[in-house]
Amino acid sequence: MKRRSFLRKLTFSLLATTFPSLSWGGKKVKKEQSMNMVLHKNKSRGVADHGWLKSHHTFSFASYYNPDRMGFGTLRVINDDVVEPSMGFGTHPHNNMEIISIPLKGSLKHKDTMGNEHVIAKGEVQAMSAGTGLQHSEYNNSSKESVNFLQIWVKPKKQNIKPNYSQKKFDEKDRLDQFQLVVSPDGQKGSVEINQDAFFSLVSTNPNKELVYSKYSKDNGVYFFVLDGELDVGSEPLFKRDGLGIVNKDEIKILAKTYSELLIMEVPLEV
Amino acid sequence: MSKIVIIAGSNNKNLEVANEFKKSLTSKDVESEVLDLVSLNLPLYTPAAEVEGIPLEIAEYKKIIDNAQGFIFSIPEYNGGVPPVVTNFIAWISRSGDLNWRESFNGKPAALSSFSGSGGIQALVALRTQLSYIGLNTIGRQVRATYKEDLNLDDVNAVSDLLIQGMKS
Repeated sequence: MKRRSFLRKLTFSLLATTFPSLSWGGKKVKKEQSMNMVLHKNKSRGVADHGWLKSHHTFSFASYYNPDRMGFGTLRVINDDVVEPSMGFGTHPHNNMEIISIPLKGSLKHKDTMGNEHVIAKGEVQAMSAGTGLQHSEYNNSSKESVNFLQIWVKPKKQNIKPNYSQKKFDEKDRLDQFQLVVSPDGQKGSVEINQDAFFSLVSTNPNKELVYSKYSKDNGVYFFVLDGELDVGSEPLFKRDGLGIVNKDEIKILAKTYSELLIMEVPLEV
Repeated sequence: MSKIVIIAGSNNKNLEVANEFKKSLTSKDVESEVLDLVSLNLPLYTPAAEVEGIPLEIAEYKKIIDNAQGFIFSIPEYNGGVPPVVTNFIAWISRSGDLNWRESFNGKPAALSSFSGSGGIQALVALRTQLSYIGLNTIGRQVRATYKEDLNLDDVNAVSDLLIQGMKS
């Protein structure tokens, strides 16, 4: 009995070496539980409906709590929020968190205790390093249409830094079939700077055009969040608002089946 | 700086009411700001906590209150009374280190509203007494909504008008 299983193992590992494309056959590893990969399907996200605010939480947030969904490395929160016209979040504080807002539809009015008062619209990315603490409010800037935006929280590299705020506009043309860096630790290539060794990129890709994402740092993990479309990341088929975290690969293939938009969040795994 | 500060005593239904007031004031070209008391997550005020130190952010909120020309409170009813976040917030403002803290409130108009499962009347009576005590001029007409009775936007508009009038006089 022992011998047989040994032989089986041997045969499979030989097959795997000779034909890398062959899988281990038979038993399928349940992907969602694999250590090197985590899959969060759109429908598995937490939902909150407050009337004026509809929110989908990829990870535990507010009234949605799932101990298995506490983030991906230093990536702690991905909220997909839809706010009714003129409604929003009243003045509230934050500290020691990197907060990135990305409007997907409509525009958002931001006001904070550093004296910033700005409107951020689709095409722009805003980052706030809360550090020692700040207060801000966020409102839908339109009185007619709802706003949809992503709010992403990343745990900071250094604690208790001086609060900082930045906002930049990115040309959608510069992300077609190529990775457009929008968030980085040093503001390289015109990106928004945050207090963490994290790199966020946006890409929109045409069908059947293969792209390869190469990590900035080998120690980081990469979390893919589908904004729109249908595509394969690695070998995993993903749909709108699905999330996939990959830990062990330095280069990851992306192949769109339809026109797709993807947010790539490369973050340190050690919290 | 905002002319009217709208204080929300819950961050679900009463924040929604607060946002409706903001909408109404914006349509009348009056600036306002919503303060979401639940999200502020302030420590509980006790004399012992005060000795340990006044939370740094209190100075920021005190500034917001000082600059306000009028207030709107939207609160749920807790056991026939005012929710702890509201009294706790007022307690910290009164112990912010400014001996003249009453000047932050004295003579300014305040409107009251409540979204509450239990009707909110008793909470508003209790709040009215306290707001008068700290020096605010509370407006008689108030706004109420429950899960059975939807928020009446005409009420919101009318009370907003009364508050604006109160700021001018």
